[in-house]
Amino acid sequence: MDCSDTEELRDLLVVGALPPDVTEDVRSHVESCPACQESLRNAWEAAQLLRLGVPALDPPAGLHDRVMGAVLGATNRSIETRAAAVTPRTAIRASRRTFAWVALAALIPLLLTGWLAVQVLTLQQQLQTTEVAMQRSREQAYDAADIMVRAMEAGGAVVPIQGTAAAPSAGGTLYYVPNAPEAVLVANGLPTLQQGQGYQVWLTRGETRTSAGMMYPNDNGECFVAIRSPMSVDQLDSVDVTSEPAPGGSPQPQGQKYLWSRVAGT
Amino acid sequence: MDPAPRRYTYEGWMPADPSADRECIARLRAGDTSALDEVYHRHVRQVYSLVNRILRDGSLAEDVTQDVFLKLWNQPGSYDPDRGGLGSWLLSVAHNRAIDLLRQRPRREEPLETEIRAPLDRADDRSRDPGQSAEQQALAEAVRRALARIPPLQRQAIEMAFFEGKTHVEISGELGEPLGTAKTRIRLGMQKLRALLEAEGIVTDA
Repeated sequence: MDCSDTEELRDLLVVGALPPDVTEDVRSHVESCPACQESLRNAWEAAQLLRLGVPALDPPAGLHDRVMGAVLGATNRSIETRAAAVTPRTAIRASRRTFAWVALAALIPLLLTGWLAVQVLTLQQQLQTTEVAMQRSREQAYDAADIMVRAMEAGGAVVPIQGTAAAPSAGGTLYYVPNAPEAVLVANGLPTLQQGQGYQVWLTRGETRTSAGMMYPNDNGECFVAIRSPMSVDQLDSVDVTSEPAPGGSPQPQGQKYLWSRVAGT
Repeated sequence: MDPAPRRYTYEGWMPADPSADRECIARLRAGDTSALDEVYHRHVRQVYSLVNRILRDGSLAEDVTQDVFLKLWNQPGSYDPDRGGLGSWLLSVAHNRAIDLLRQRPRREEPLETEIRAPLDRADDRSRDPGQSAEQQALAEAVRRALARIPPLQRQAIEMAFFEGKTHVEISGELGEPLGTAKTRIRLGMQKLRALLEAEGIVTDA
């Protein structure tokens, strides 16, 4: 496969008219050819616009309630499926790097205690909010395990997190995948917040702060969150943790800061 | 600090408001159901219409549409604002799922003439959706105008591939034409489409 082949096949590729093996051949060439990437990008743009050209239909009236109902009462089947997919990979790959063993060893107790913390929360909140929190917590656990596995494969990087004056004995570690947007923040020593409050994680670059999710510590002040940053974690200026209203958090940090660390340059 | 290197992507199609999409994803990550509600109202019509066009089955189209929004809710990190607009991503997920589903079930036989005429017959559908922005509606209408101006046989070949998941070999067989003819129709049709979209100011470099 060369540039002329790609040029000839690009229009067939972007409308999905090539069989899988030829598609892969073209993609392989394009991955290493900036000129073909640019050529193909224009073709893809046009092809994607075809999706807008279909006759517009009104969705059925009940679809909205069905979707939102599914969101709030999503079955655990998909979660269990993800767990099954993550666990074997963890078991197989964890032997590759000592870093991974240490990180996972630190994480596993937190997965259990974090889950218990959410169960306590279950007793205090209404059913709908609880279902969302429980699902989020379990997904966070699987996300975190998945990220840790990928971190170990990529060599893994860690940044220590410091407690602020509001929580001088608190601390933590940011584990992340080099040159990628995934990370796991593991915290400890965080004080118990009043009901209706949680710890919200913020990613800062320049003047922009992005929420990376909520954390709810167990009785020992331990918690974690799986982070998917809008950019490579290495490029973040800092990571902060503040107290904010649960479960949705705040659009921008408003509460007291409990944890902080610089990321870029560490 | 230098900005993050922009990765090459097949997914971005139109100017998006990355900050709005990032804010939306942050709210989804925080478990804010109102964020999903907003995304739903903004994009459901295009998602449902696309899936219904591919599957031609309202019930299945509902299932896939629900699946698309559930994926966003369960895996908000799978959408990367740096790679394109959220609407583009939703349509991409919907398209892939619908085509996968289509390939798993027996082909539905329909007169080719119906297939060719369908977009033209409904190309003037200007019904308004309050959840869609004026920009989105204008873009969709411009695309429909462009599609309507592609020679019917070229459009037919493109639609058989794009909306029915057929390879050029299958298209050639179904139309009873040489393989080279099917390939040429797709290529000429896409060239025409790009030229028309460029004339509409949508694709800047055809």
